[in-house]
Amino acid sequence: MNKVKVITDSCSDLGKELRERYDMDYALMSVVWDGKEVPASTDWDLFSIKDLYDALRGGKRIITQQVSSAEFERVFSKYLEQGMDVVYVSLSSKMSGSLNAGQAVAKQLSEKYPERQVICVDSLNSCLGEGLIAIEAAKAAMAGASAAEVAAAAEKAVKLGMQFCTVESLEYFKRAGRVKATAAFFGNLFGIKPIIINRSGELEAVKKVKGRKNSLDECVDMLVKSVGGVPVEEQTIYVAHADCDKDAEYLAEAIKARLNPKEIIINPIGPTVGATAGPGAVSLCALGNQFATLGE
Amino acid sequence: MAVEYIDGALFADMVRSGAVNLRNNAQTVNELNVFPIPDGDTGENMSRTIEGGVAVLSSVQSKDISAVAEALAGGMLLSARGNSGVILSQFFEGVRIGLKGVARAGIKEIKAAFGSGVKQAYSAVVQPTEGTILTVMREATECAEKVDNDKSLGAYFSVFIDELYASLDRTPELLAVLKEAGVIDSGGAGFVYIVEGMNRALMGEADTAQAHEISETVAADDGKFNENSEMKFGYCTEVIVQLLNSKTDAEKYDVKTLIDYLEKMGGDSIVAFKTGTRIKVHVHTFEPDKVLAYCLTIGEFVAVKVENMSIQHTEAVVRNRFVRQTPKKAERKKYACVAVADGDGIIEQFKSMGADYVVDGKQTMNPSAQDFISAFDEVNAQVIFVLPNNANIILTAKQAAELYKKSQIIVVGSKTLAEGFSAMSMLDYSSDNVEKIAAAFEQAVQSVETGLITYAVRDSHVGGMNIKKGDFLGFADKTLLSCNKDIVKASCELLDNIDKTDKSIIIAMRGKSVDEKITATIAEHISKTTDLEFYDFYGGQDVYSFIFVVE
Repeated sequence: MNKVKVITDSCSDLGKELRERYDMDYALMSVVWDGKEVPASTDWDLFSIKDLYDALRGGKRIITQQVSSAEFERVFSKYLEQGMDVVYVSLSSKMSGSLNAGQAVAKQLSEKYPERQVICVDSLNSCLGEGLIAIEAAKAAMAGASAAEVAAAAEKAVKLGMQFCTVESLEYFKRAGRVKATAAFFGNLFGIKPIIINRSGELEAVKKVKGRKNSLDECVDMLVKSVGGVPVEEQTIYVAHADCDKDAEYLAEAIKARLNPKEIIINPIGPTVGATAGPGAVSLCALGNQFATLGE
Repeated sequence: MAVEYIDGALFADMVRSGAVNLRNNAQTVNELNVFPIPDGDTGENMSRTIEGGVAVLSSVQSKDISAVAEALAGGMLLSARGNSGVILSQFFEGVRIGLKGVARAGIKEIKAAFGSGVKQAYSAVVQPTEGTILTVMREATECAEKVDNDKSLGAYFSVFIDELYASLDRTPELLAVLKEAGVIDSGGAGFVYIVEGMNRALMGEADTAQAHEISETVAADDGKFNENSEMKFGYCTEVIVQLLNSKTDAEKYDVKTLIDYLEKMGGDSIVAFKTGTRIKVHVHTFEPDKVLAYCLTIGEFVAVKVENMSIQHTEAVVRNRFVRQTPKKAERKKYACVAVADGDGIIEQFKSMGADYVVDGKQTMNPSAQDFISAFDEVNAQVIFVLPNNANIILTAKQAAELYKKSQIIVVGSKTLAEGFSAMSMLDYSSDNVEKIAAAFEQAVQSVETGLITYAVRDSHVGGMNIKKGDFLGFADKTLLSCNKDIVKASCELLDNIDKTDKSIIIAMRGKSVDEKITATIAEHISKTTDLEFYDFYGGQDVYSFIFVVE
């Protein structure tokens, strides 16, 4: 058995299958939906993909909430009790208070479990960008690494984590206040799609592209130009999508035509990210230097 | 007795007479439009251009023709609007150059001046098109060049005018679009009216302002100006005054005295000139009573028109033309964008996408170089990008850019509102690199096909299609692609036929009186027959029922 359990949160969008494959667990955030607080499960057991995105398409406001202290206590204690250390890979601290809450709970628990360790790592990322960093950490844990070594593997991946996203409309992001956009993105931009990247823990609209298909192509192009750090043949490239599987398949095919990664995984975007990015959002996540393509 | 020399005063009278003759015939020139669509504005544009020159003549102190030509050219450069207007202003700029240092011009000097005018006019146009005003002015100048220098000026002008008419008649042979539409070139016709008017002044029969010209229909009061309204825009006041010897010296009265008074009382957009013993005055003011009272001290009215500009036209137009100056913003921006647009919805949309200033380019009021310069002052930026959005305005914008020294002005080559809309939607200053920003604008412009739906104002025959008055016509660029009594059918057929290679989006800007349901039907057709994204919004433009951006 591993000495270390890697924990992430709802925002990583890792479903049951991937969590089991890498022997991980997650702390659940929650969403307020029709006035009720619902756990932000990424397993589609409490609601279906259609339920979620049709509600959003119908104009329903779904509000996201960070991981509660009680939830952290539940999930951390579960593994500490089993004699394991915990490495928590959090959603970017620039977007949520989950990291702070996790650290506070970790401190409390250190009194109860003085022999055990809880290390919190800021992924400075979200969606599968966060997920893939947690997976890099989990791989180290599965190889028998110590908590410090697992945390170091996560930190290394933080430096290489990339995300290239596009959305049907920036409205959801703007409403949630979760994207930085210059004046260039003001107004009703009919048919103009923003390309969004993760910059130092915050999402930023960096480019305007005309039409959905062109925006998908642009994401692929940016990914191809920036992938690296770890040889692409050894990498898994993640395609996350908010209820637009056809586009996700199109993206996967387009990547396959130009790169030869070990694996491409298509994964639905869960309720936390979905409510923020809106239906039709897609995100390509891999390791590399994303600023290479921006000429920065 | 034949006139041998033209001095400053006579030249000024000639130009005034030319301006009046054109104004009296502006509507005729307007109607010489090539396509059977209601956008004829050449007469109006040329009139406004030359009137802008005439307006400054009264301030000339010197008696030399060179001084009058210099003032005239300066005034016209600023007031130039429309392609023909810009070409006209450049002709007179060339005349100025040709008359430099000349006190009074004989036939030899006039030949040189007109020759210089033609040269300057040609140089102002990137790709001179034959069969236009350029050809007409060139051929007449070349022909009249052959008149012996010992002949009278009258003989010179007579040959000049004969050849103008002959050349004008040949324009349809040079330009297929004219031939097909069965008209002669409108800019050329405008030029003929000017020269004819000038010649009549030379012969001592100067054209005078006609009373009927200011009796335009008063804009309907739509009830927006009511008991709670605020007077924001003042009155557009136009009068023609017959000077009376019983009140002043009608012959000697200097119109500058009147202009000084109007300026002192805070009048705006002042145009006043004297023809014979009549004065025509145009001024925007909050106190029209003072204007009328003053005029009564020197004569009596031939015609009076006073319109409340808060009602007159659309508010957007008035806002552009006459607003009390707000204090300048202190902060100078790095980048700004000035766009020309019309239609309240489109103007709103341009502003929301980041246009710092939108010049209202309503068809009959093409912006002048001065309008652009005011806009440049207003936005106060180091680098200003200009989206002219009309093939007929690009030259004016470039002329304004030439004249403006306070900022770097980059005129984007957007020939249609659709092209400009696309460029505007791609606006992004974040690279902080002027070339890159400009290149992105140009690239957007290049990637657009413009589709236009309008209606036929008369029966016609274009591109092999028989057009009945009232039919809806679909144009891509200037090519007629559809013609149908039904607006939906005309639109769908246009969009079926328009080049959609590598295109992914259609945006429909809905004209003033177009029902949303019509757009819905078109949207349905597009989604059934293509995989293009379709968007639409209320544009509010007058002439076109739809402007389609296909990109």
